[in-house]
Amino acid sequence: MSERILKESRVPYNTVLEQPPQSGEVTFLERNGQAIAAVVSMDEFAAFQQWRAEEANRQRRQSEAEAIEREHAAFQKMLPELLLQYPGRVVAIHQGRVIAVGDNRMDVWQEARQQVDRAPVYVQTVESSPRIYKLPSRKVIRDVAV
Amino acid sequence: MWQYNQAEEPPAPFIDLFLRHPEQPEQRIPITAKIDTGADISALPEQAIAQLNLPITGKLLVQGYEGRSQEVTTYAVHIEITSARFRVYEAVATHEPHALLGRDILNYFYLRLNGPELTLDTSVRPL
Repeated sequence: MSERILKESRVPYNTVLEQPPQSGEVTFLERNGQAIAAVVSMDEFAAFQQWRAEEANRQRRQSEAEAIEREHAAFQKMLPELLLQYPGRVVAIHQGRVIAVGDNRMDVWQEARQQVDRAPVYVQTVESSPRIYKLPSRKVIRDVAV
Repeated sequence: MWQYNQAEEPPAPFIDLFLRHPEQPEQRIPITAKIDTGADISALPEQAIAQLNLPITGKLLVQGYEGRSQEVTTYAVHIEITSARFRVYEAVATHEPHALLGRDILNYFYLRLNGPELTLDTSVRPL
């Protein structure tokens, strides 16, 4: 990593480097002795942008998974009441409240997602003993790692 | 018409399909899927779920190979087979490199398995 001190230009964001930065090389721009920006190669910048997008995506997935866990817990808590109101039907839960009811899981999910601008929505069928789906594969997994 | 996958022993019926994010249909990835008439619900490779950022819909109890039930996360996905655009389905995740198409999707199709010639036909109309 190299450090280069460039004089502040009259047009502050228009500087000329003698040579384009090499991969791994960082040129710092300073103002009054304080680093205010860093210049890297385009390859480095592209890698950074990709990392930043992946990190934002990872955080979004983590946040979504946590929200679904909360809605799942809310559903379990509300189940005795839901069994009286909506037996056998599908409910969509968002922020601990029922926001849509229907008979097809994905129809209810889609309707609810539109209501909340695609925020996390949990759908579940209201039944005292949850149905068990058979999937005779050794490789079914609980969830996709975030 | 598709050929059976002969890397499986015995050879097994597979088809090609496309997965899409249910709310961002411009994102589409191709994938192979094994026909699994013994499955109540379909499963998708975890890489495909992550790549498309498929939204979580909830949880289901799934009984697997050993007969043991476990609570698994479900994801919404748009599945396109033989250019027949499908509605949004719910699927679980698998470590398999291919999808498993269960009866939740297969029952919308006519299927013809030709074992001796190791071919498979699918159609939305009678074959």
